[in-house]
Parts: sequence; C-alpha cells; structure tokens
Amino acid sequence: METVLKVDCLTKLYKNGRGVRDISFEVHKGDVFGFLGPNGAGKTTVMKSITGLNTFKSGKVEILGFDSKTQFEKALAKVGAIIETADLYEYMSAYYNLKIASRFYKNMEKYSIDEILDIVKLTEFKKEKVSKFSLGMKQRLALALALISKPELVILDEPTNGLDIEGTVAMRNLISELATTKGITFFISSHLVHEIELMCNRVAIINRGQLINNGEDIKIIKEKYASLEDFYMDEVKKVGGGI
Amino acid sequence: MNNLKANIINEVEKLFLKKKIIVFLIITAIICFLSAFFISAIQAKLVFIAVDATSFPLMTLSVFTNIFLPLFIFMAVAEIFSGELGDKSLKLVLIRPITRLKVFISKNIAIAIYIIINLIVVFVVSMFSSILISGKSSFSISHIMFAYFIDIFPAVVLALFASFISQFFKSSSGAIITCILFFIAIKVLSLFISGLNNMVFTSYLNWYSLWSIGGFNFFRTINILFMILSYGVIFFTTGYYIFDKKEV
Repeated sequence: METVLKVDCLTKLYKNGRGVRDISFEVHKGDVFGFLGPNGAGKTTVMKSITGLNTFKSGKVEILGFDSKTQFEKALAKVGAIIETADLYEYMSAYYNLKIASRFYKNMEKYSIDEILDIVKLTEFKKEKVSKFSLGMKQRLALALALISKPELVILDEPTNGLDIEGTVAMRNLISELATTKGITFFISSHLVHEIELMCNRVAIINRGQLINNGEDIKIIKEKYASLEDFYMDEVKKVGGGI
Repeated sequence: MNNLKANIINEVEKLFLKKKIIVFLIITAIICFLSAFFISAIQAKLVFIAVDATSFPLMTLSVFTNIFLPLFIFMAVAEIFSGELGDKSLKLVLIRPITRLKVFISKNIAIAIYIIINLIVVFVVSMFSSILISGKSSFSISHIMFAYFIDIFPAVVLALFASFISQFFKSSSGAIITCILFFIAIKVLSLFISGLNNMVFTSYLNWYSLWSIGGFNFFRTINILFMILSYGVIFFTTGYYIFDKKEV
C-alpha cells in the first residue's frame, strides 16, 4: 500500500508546555483519513507541523516520499490544505484568489481555474469580491484553493467548522465525491465523531497531545463497537481520559 | 526559481490591488505637479528662491526621498508583512511549494519594485512640470535619471529596515507607527550626536545630493555604498531569521 503521508515521532512543544508528543501514523493512497480529538488535543498543531506553518522540535514528516524539512518544495508540490480557518484575500475576487495560487504550479491554465470553480459550485460568483461571500462560500473557495495544485493529498482542518447544516452536507458530499472520482487522499481533522464516521475510512485519535490510536479501519471498528463514538470513548478511557 | 518569480508577481499584484497604494501614487503625482506651479509662482515674487528646470526634479527628489517615500515604504512593508500576518493571509503563501527564504526575498523584491515605480512617477511628473514651468526641455535628462537611479539603493535598505521591524508586529498600524518613530528618533539623534549622521543609513536617502557636494569623490562614494549594503545585509539577515522562525 502506497504511503502518501508518514509522520514519525513528531514532537512539538509550545512555551507553555502544551503541544504534541511522539505522534506517529501513516496515511495511505486513497484514504479519507480522520484525525479525531477534542478541542485543544493538538490536531491543528500536527497539521501545522506537516504543512510547515510550525517548526517542530523532533520527529520526521514525509509527504509523497519527500522530507518536509529538507525537501519542502517537493513535499508540498502536490498537497492542498486548509488549516484552522478559510483564510483568503478578501479584497480580491474568487477567480483572482485562485489565479494567485495557480502561479505556483506548472501547466495551470485558465480552464483549470474554471473547472475547479465549477467543482465547488462558485462559477457564477467568480468575479465577486470574497469579502461579500458567506462562510459556506468562503469554505468552498478555500477547498478550491486546496485543489488548485491538482493534489494527491488534501489536508483539511475542521472543514465543516462554523457551517450550517446545508453547508456541512455540501462540504461532506464534495469531499466524498473528490475522493471517489479524482482519487484524492484526504487527511481530515475534526472534533465531531459523527463527521468522521460519515466521511472517513480510517481514523486516528489524539487526546491531550498524544496519539492513542494511530489509524484504525472504521469498518473493523464498527464490527466491534456499536458506533465510532463508543470506540472513541473506550480508547480515551484506556489512557485515563474522558468524562 | 519559478516559484520565486511566481511569488514576486503575486506580491506586486497584491500590493497594487490595494486601493490605498494606488491612491498614494496618485497623491504623489498631484503634489509633485502642484508644487512645481507653487514654486514658480512664488519665485517670481521672492528673488532668493532659484529653482530652474534642472533643479526642480532634483529638489523634488530630495523632498520625496526624505519625507514621502519613507512613509510609503513603511506603509507598503507593513501591509505585506504584518498586515498579512494579522489577517492570516500569510498562511496562503506558506502552504504553497515555496520556501520561506524565497517568500521573504520575493516580498522584499516587490517592495523594491514599488519603490522604483514611485520614483518613476515622481521623475516623470517633475520633468513634465519643469517643461511646463520653463517652456523648454534643454536640461540633461541622463543627469537627472542618474540621480533618481542611485537613490533607489538607500530606499531599498530603508525597506529592509522596515521589513525587519515589521516582523515584530501582527498589525500593520503597529508596524507603521514603530517604523516612523524609529525613523524620527534616528534623524533627531543624528542632530545631537556628532558623527552619527555619517554612520546611519537614513542620512543617505537622498544620496545624490551628497555626490554633488564638493564634487565626486570615488573612495568616499564606494565607502558609503558598502556601508549602505552592509546595513542592507544586516536587516535582511535578521529580518529573515525572525520570519523563518515565525509560527503562523
């Protein structure tokens, strides 16, 4: 099985002593890999370390076989990401946001931008300024920005955060569609068990900065447990956490 | 290399898509144009002011590089570094396949291009105004062009200084105010501390005017050039060091 993302003994500690310790897991090609944990567990820290937004103390991150520290450009060449929030250039149009991002990739033509806008259903708003967009539209544009690299791996940090029910369903369907039709591997973090259960095929659980499960198959989990929620609670209890 | 080029284009575009940058360029052109008519009007009444067609573009250059250009540089640098950190759009570049060194270089090159565009605007408007005032165009354009060209270097160093200061701020307004205060403090201190004026880079913002005092001295010019470059290297290195360690 081809490994798209390999995180090995990643440790990142902040000045206040919080952070993540000894995180190791692998994401394989074709996975929709869920990264589940409560707020403040360290999900975003891990994602920021993978994408180079954070520096980390020790450990190794390999994306598509390239070391993220020493071969950063090659490692990130086929990666798209939304980290924390859908940050965009608010003073630009949707089209211009994509055009700016597309310059980093070879062979990105106008039709590619139009095609991506079509995928996220923003074609009719492409000339509108992003500052006028709703949160759901911004989230979809952020996903379009993640897709502009024609990625093999897309990293999404809480992609449905702040979205209403319709927006959440639309985003979830979009991710599933892209995984199925384009063969994109997804690495998605969430604090919502239900979200992970609906979108992902594998799940890793993080709690208090430590990984307590590094990538179980959700189908196998469901054979043993009534729901992913039960599995999560059981795993957390094993390490002395939970309610 | 391609990514560096891509980000230089992106940074320049981002800068010029902001309305205030364009507005300030237009204001510069208007002030420059109107001041030519103001000076020519009072010159007719006050004998001791002598501004001719050749000296007007150089006088404009002196005023612009010492007062307006530093302000514009601080504003642009603050937007491009602290502003992007504040509105979190810096993340959009950092998650692309481009190293932080290239991001830092491209942002500074974009500022240098912005400086050059500003100087071109002032040059063109002041030359045009001069022709209108004197009604002739017999002055040495190459001489004036050279004056504008060499003043690019100290301005770029000032931009590197501002980009170093901006690394400590998450809001563009904080960065602009601090840059201005530092700039004023250096200028004031150099008035009171003897010898400081020769050592600080801000004294050479209108480098050309110093060339013309007492004639051209090759060794003195080389000495100043290396000093300006040294300041540039120091500000670039320290600025990049902080930028590289920044957690976004």
